[in-house]
Amino acid sequence: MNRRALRGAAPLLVASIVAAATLIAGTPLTVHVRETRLREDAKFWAPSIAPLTAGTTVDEIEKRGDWIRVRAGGTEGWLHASAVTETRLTLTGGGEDVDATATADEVSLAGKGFDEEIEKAYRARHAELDFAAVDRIGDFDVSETEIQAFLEAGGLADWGTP
Amino acid sequence: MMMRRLMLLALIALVLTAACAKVSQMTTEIAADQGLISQDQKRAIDRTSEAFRKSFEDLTEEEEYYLGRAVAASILSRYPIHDDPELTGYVNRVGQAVVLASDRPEIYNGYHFAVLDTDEINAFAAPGGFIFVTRGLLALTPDEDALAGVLGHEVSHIAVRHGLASIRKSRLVDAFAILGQEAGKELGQQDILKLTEIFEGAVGDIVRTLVESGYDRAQEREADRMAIAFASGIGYGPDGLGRFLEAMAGQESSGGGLGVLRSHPMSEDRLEAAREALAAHVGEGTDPQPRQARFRTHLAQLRE
Repeated sequence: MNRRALRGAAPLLVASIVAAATLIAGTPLTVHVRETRLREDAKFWAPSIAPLTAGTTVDEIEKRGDWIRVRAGGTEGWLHASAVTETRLTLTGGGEDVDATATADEVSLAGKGFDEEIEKAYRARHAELDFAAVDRIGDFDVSETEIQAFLEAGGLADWGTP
Repeated sequence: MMMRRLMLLALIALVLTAACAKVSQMTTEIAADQGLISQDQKRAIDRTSEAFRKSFEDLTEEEEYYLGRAVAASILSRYPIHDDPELTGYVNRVGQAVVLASDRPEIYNGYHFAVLDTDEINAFAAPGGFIFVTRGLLALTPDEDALAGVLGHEVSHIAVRHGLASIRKSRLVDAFAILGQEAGKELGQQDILKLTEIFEGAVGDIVRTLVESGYDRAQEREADRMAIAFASGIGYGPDGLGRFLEAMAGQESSGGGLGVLRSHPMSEDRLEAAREALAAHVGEGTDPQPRQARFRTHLAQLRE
């Protein structure tokens, strides 16, 4: 391989090394649920540090069972493993990656699958379906404090005590 | 120029052999930053990676949620909602308790539980976290620990994506091909039309499995095993599901409960499998006494 070829190969080599090094150093993860909470400890009801929305990227620091300690922006905290994916969600159109400030709606605008736009087209073909009832079920919310009180009153596991 | 082409080919080869899409996107990003490839070329390569999605396991959380919404709407077109906020709240609290001990507690929009107004004994888990239990099923459930077992069974179907597994593979291959092709730009009307037809077919596949054909025995047994682990993981007695299954078996011999038998086939071997799964959790579970009064209060009306 001549010098020119080596010069040409350098950026590719760098790219490969950086990619491999990133894998070793800590996996970048993307929040793939609409909203989750970065917590102070590896358990539900550990105090919340910040809400994180779909598309936010974080860096894995360590794993403890089903929980992952991550760095999100300048903050460290814990996320449940089911809230993140190693697959990156990317916006279409400009081909830009979703950045840490992207909202759930912006991610859904990616138009990369079965999303709000496809549901809209589907609903237009099925006027008989009651999606308002589906919304009501999805909006039915049980707060963390309610669940905690429910578990305590029922003598069930108390996840609230650190 | 020749060398640049060779390098581009090498880059594409690297991307195609990369272990995962994340690495390939990182690589194309760096290559684009270095000026080795243009943004257009970057998009073309990312598009190729996108086409690697090929099975239901590659559906995103958001896609699962939207499929599940349509499945839920279809179930609601067959059964009316039992509009009792107190009872619905209670079922949701028991359900959320089990969800916390599951291995997939966080999904796109969380889990939500609703009661269907029918005497039929049945339960359905739509992808994306929509779980339905019938009034008839609740009336048959002996206690809160058994309810936790039943809800844990439905949560398990969602946690391991049994509903999505029933989508005909060719539909997803077609959808991913359209999405892969168009990843770099907005979808055209024709693509949206095609995707909507595929979506419609996929929803139909799931609804048929949930409402008509049912899951296979291996899936039911897997959900039973997981349900026992989830329920006991939060403190419920691990034998709750077994007590419900026995109550249901009693209904079977008396000729009732056809609905649940269709979508959740009952059999001696399923009961046997549940008993075997129970063996791993013997002695787990807290004293059920504090849960008895609230169960009776919330279910009282259904038992009148």
